Order: sequence, then structure tokens, then C-alpha cells
Amino acid sequence: MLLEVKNLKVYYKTTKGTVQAVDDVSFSLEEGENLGLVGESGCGKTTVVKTILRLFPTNIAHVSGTVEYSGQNILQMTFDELSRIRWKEISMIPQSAMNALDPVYTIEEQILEALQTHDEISYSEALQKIYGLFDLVGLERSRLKDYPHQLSGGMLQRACIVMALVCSPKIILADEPTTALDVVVQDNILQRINELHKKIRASMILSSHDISVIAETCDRVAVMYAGQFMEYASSRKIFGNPFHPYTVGLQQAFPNIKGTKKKLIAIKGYPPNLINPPRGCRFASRCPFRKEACVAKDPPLVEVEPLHLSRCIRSDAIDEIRRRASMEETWERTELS
Amino acid sequence: MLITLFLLVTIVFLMFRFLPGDPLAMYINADMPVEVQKALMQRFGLDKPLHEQYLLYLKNLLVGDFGQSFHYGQAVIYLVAERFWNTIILMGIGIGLAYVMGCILGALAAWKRGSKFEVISIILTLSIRSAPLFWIGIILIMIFGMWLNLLPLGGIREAGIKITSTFEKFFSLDFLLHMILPATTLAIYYMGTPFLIMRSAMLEVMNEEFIEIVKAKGLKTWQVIFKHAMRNSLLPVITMLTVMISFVMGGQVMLETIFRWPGIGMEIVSAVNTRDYPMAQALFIMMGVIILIVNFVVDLLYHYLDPRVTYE
Amino acid sequence: MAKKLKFFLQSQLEVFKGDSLGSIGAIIFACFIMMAIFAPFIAPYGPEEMIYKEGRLLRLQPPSWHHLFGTTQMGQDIFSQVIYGSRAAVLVGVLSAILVSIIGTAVGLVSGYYGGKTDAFLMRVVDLAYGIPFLPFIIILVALTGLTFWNVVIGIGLLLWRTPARVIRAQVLSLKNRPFVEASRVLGASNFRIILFQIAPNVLPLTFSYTALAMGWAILTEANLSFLGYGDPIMMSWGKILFRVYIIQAMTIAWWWVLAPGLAIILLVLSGFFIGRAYEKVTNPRLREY
Repeated sequence: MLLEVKNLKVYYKTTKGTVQAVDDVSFSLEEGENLGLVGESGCGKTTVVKTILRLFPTNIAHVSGTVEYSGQNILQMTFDELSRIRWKEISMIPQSAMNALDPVYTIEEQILEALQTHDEISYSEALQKIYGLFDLVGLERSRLKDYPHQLSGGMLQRACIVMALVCSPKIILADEPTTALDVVVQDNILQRINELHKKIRASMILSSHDISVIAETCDRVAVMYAGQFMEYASSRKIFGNPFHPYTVGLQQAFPNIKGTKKKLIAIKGYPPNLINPPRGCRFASRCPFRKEACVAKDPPLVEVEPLHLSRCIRSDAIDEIRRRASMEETWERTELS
Repeated sequence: MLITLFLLVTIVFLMFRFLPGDPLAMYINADMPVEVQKALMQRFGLDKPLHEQYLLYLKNLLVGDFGQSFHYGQAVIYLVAERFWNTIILMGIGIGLAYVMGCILGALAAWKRGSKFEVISIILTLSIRSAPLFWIGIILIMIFGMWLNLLPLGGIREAGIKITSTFEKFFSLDFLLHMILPATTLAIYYMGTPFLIMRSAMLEVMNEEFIEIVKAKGLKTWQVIFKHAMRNSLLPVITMLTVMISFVMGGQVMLETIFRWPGIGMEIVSAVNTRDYPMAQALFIMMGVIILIVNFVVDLLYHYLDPRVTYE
Repeated sequence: MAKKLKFFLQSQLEVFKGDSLGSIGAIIFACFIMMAIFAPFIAPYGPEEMIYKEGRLLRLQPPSWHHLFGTTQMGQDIFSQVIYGSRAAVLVGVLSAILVSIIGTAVGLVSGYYGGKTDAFLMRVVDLAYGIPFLPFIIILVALTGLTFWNVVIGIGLLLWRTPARVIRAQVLSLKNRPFVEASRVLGASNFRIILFQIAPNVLPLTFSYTALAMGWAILTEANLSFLGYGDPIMMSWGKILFRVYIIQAMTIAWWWVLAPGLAIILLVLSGFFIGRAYEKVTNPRLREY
């Protein structure tokens, strides 16, 4: 096991109160495996990703749980130990490449910075390595001497991918890597990520609100909502055999990039306020299948089949749920509570 | 930029011409012998109509002819040149120090947002900035010159010392000792502005995404602060210099007066007091020129500081 | 009309409510204004009054209960001098500030709103104004036209408007294309009306901010000029007090003579800076996190 996250809680301070952004999240990552975190904006997936590198904003209120990498808890390490792990073992592809690079240094300077912070490596060796990666992602070598503002969005994203790979990390975190790009480039980048993954053999944690992106690239998927995991299973099971109404709803709501036409059904309503999370199931207010028991007590994550966890107490009624969920009226008739 | 210079000298021309009293007093002192007066009138066309005088004035400026100093009896241009270097060196070092200290402190204050350090440094620099420069100088003279008797009270070097070379002029220990107090006064006083600007620019930069990525790359904290956050905050700080320099010249006047530093600041007060108009005029123009040079240098630095800025 | 005035005054109070430094600044400023107005009633002695005790001049007395800030070489009470000196500071400060902000705001509004050649020309003038060294200009001006505080005010006004002009112009540029201005234009409002009723009110906090800052600068300039001997010969001023102690090199003997006027200057100028900052926060909400 490469990475193990146990009972992670991350809370933020705001002027209106403490936001419980991530509330008791646990998962693990094996070598060579891709994990997808899918959920709508504000569900906490970005927070989970950033917490792995211990990147917290100034208004952090509470962090508990463990993030274990190679037997050490990242959350408890000294700053020096953390610095050694950052980027070298675990790196990140940012959401918006346009803002992720320092505008006053060239691409070359910034990628070199990543390399030279961690390894004693000569300039020519470093250059060779970078060239190799540039060719891999399809960037012209001449672009190295350019400044970030001289590259297009797609090129910048590729440059960021190179920067994330250059230290040959074991884990790559990709936080909404395609959200800021147009669809054509998005497809392009996704293909490259897949190819790279075959070649590089690093593990990835990919977060996205677009479930089709996750479907294309990940082995295991965690569906996140309002700071908690709603469902956690292999990609095949999540898409072929979903147990949580939210998962089902998500799949209905997204167009498939491959093009099979279907009617999109939106999930009515908004995610709950995380300053005072509602008692019981957090999705209940928008769920067409809720019962009284759903709001009475917080539902736990249970194993509905081997290696498949779901936070829904109505898993026994799953066949009926699936049948009704494919019908538009089910979702439209939902009364928000 | 040359237009500004042109307008500046024109304004000086008009300013000094509209003296309450005798326009001739600009170049001629009644104490001078009659032949000299006549010769000067000839040279500066003081008996000719205004527009001809103006053209002659410009022509003389180009050649560097600023007239004769009433007070010293020598060609103004040489007197100004000597004092120019005294001022530039002191000003350069003082302002340089102010900027370096201000930037570093400002970066630290921004990094330690909300800490006691930040609050104290803001109050301190603001308070110093609210005092007159000469008062800060007097306080320093009182402490270090008079009570502790550590440093000389003024002047540029010990009286009566023989100077054998230009090197000795500016690189001797004596010069250094004399320079410490005035340079420190300048540095402490002007530190406030780059400090405040660096701090507010940093606060904005620190929220940018690339700073987080730089942290994620595993860089040490000081590298994040200085190599990335501060570097991106430099542009507004440096551009502020173009605004500040106009006030800095005034500051030089006060500073040099207090410390008896023979530069163009002290000289301009003396020139105005002794009604040495050629000197006053030339010194004023010189100050304008220095301001223009600083503007020019900042313009050059622009592109280096921010690659996104292109020249038109 | 009265209602609008009341609303205006109330909104000014709002500016200071959230800002502790600004409130302190406003209070200090108010104190100095009181000091300036009621100087003859507050000061125990006249500004140039030489005080005798038992037939001898009370020279260079350190601070005591009788003379809070001590006395000068000529037996004058420094506390009284400082109080009377506030008049010059407040007068020059406030008058210059008003002049600077009127010119600066006007130029900023016109330049920003009309753009084009007017803007280019006015900005060139601003560049020129920045190219002129501030204090030397005023020294020469005052030397040429006479040592009165009016000349100082005019001198300051001739140059300091440059900064608010630039800043307000930038503000106007961002405001003039906002939807509410567009709406007015569509409804047929004349440019004059738009500038006066739509844009100016939004620019007002910035104007006030720079008015306060300009006051600080003006007071410092007045102190500098008085120290050099170019102050108004009739009025007592803090710079003049310092001029007198420096001229006779009495600094080490009479530290109180140096400290008192200096601290007065610092306090009043600081209050200007704090008030200016409070208004700046209104324009730039991001500064409000304090």
C-alpha cells in the first residue's frame, strides 16, 4: 500500500463559522493504481488532494486523522521531511495551469527548480530529462525558454504535467486537471495522461466533477459529497453496479464524451451548508428515495459487496432504486427538504 | 522624457524671470564692476526681448553655460558638478538601503500577517515617516554624535584633510564615518514607503495559485518568500520610486542642511539665501535632471522585472 | 437637503466605525483642531513671551509641572509654543489639502471620463508635475514671492494634486463603463450630470483619502520650510521651534526642546495617515481584513 488515509477531517475557519469541509474520509492507494475522486464543486475533493501534500490555507481550523505514506504520517512530519517528500515522492498537476506558474521565470527555470530542489543533477542531465518529457507530452523544446504568458492554456497544462513528472514521483495528484480547458484539448490531455500512466507507472489520484473523465482514467473511484465519501469501489462497479442514489444521479447528469446520446437529468437542489451539517445522510434533502430513517441517524459506510462501500442505508432496495432512477420524473418530482 | 526636461527648463526660465524686482538680478549683481555687467548682459542677452533671451538661454544650457555664481565668483557648472557627486553618492546609498531594508521587512511583515511583528513594524515605519526628515537626523545626531560620541556631527570629512585622489575622496574611512549618520537617516526615513507597498503587494501575490505550487514543490520557506513572492511584488515597489524621487530631492535639501553635507541640496538653500540666482537656477535644473534619470532607469527595469510588459 | 447632509455625515461615521486606527486618527485630528482654535485659552503663556522668575530669565528649564515641555534659551514656554504652533500646521495642512484634492479630483474626473486627447494632455502635465522636485520648488517660489503661508499653500497646491489626479483617474476609468453609468447614458443624461452624480460620489472616498494624506504632506512641508527659515515670520510654527534650537546647537542641553515639537508633528501627520487609510479601505475592501 502506497498511501493510506484514515479518518481525515479538515475544517476551515470563516467569518460565518467553521466549515467542516472534509469529514472523516478514509481510502488507500496501491502502486500503479489510479484513484478517482468525483463530486460537485465544494464537496471537499480539492481539500483532500491538497491535504495529502499538507497544503493548507491560512484559515485552517482543524486537521485530524492520518495520511500515511511509506509508513510515515505526512500530517505529523517535520517540515524538512515534508519538503523531501513534496514533489519528489508526491507531485501535483494543478487545476488551472494558467495561474500555476510564476510569471516572472521561464518554463525552464521553474522545471529545473523542481528538479534541483531534490536531486544533485547537472544542467545537461536535467535538460535531457526535460526534453524527454517534452517529447512525451508533445511540446516543442523551444518552448522551454518562454515565459508562461507566451504559452496557450493547453501548452501550459502540458508544461505543468512535465513539471509534475520530472522528479519521477510515485504518486501524482491531479486536481481537476481538465476543468479549465476546452473539450477538444480536454480529450487530448486525458489521452496523454493515460499513455503516460502506462509508461511512467506512477499512481494517480484524480479529482474531477466530471464523472466521465474519471471513468476514462481511474481504477478505483470514490464518490464524494458534502465532505464525505458516499460510495467507494472499483471503477467498473461504480459505473456498472452503483449502490448510492447520488452516484446514480451523477451518471445521469453528465454527457458521455464518447457521444452516446441520452437525456440529461439534473439533480435538483444544492449541497448542504457545511458550517452546520445536517443530521443524518447529507444527501437526503435532495434524494428521491429518502425515508425517515435516513435523516434520523448519520449513515455509516457499509460494504455492500466485496471491496464496495456505500453510505446508503437503503442498499437492500437497490434494484428498485436503479429502476426508478433512470426515469426523469423520479428526479423532477423530488421534494427538497 | 526629453519633453519633460524641455518643459522643466522652460518653467525655470519663466519662474526666475518673474522676480518681484529686477529681472537683471538673475545674472547680474550690482556689486559687479560695470564692464563685467556689460559683458554678462551681452552673453545672456539680458537687454534683448524675452523670446530672444529664451533662445539664448536654451543655447547656453546646451553648452553647459549656466553663468557665474554671484557668491563664489566661479562658473556655475563646475561648482554644481562637484556637489552633484556628493549628493548622488549619499542619496544613492541612503535610498538603496531604504529600499533593501523596506523590501525585506515588508516581505516578512506580509508573511507574518497579523503577528506582533507586523503591527509593530507598521506603526514604527509610519511614525518615522510622519516626522520631518530633519528631526530624525537631529535625533540621530543627538544620540550617536553628541551623547555617545561615536560619529562625527556633520560635514563630509574632517576639516583640513588633504585629499590626493578621487578614490580617497570617497573611499576613505573618514568619508565613511561621515556618511553613516546621514545615510542611516535617509534609510530609516524612506524605508516606510517600500515597506508598505511591498507588504500590500505580497499579500496579494501570496494568494496566487503559483505560490501554492511552489510550496508543493518542496521549496524552503525563505525561498518561497524571496525567490517567488517578493520577486513578483517588486514591480509596484520599484515604480513607486518615480513618485518618491520628487520628494527625495526635497529630503536631500533638509538632510544636507542638517549634516552640513556639501551637495546640491545644501547648496540650493544657500544659493537662495544669498540671492545667487545662477546657482539656484542651475541646481534646480540639476535636480530635475536627476529625477528624469531615475525615471529612465525605472523604465528600463520595468521589462526585466515583469516579462509580461512589452515595449511599444 | 438637510436629509442628504445627515445621510452623508452618517456614512462618514460608518467609515471609521470598523477602523480603530482611523478612529484614533480622527480623534487626534479633532484635538489638534480644538488646540488651534482655542490656543489662547489653552496655552498658559504667549508664544514669544519671555518668562522671568525672581528677576531672572527662566532659560532652558527641563520639563516641570509649571512648564510641561520646558523652556527655551529665551525663557519661553515650549508647551505654549507648541499649542500656538498647531495653528500654522492646521491652517497650512487643511487649506493645502483642500486645494490639492479639489484640483486633483477635478483633473482625475475630467481626464478619466473624457479620455482621448484631453486625457493624454493632462497626464503629460502630471508627468511634468512629478518631474519637478517638490520642496526645492516651494523654497524658490516662496523666496521669490514672499514668506507668507498663503504662498506655501499655493505652492503645495501647484504640485501635490498630481497623485490624487492619477489615482482618481484610474478609478474613473474603471467606473465609467459600469452598468449603472451605461444605464444613465442610455436614459440621456448629459456627461456633466453623469460625472457629478454618478461618478463623483463613488470617487469621493478616494478623494477624502488623498485629502488626508495631502494634509500630512503639507504639514511636513510647512515644518521643513519653517526649519530652513522660510516660514511665515509672524506665525509660530513647530518647524520654527526646531529651527531655534538647532541654530544655537542646544540639542544636547535641551532634549525637551527637540522632542516636543517633533512629537506634535508626528501625531498630527500620523492622524492624517490613519484617516487616509480608513477612507482607502472603503475603496479597496480587500484591505479591510484588519
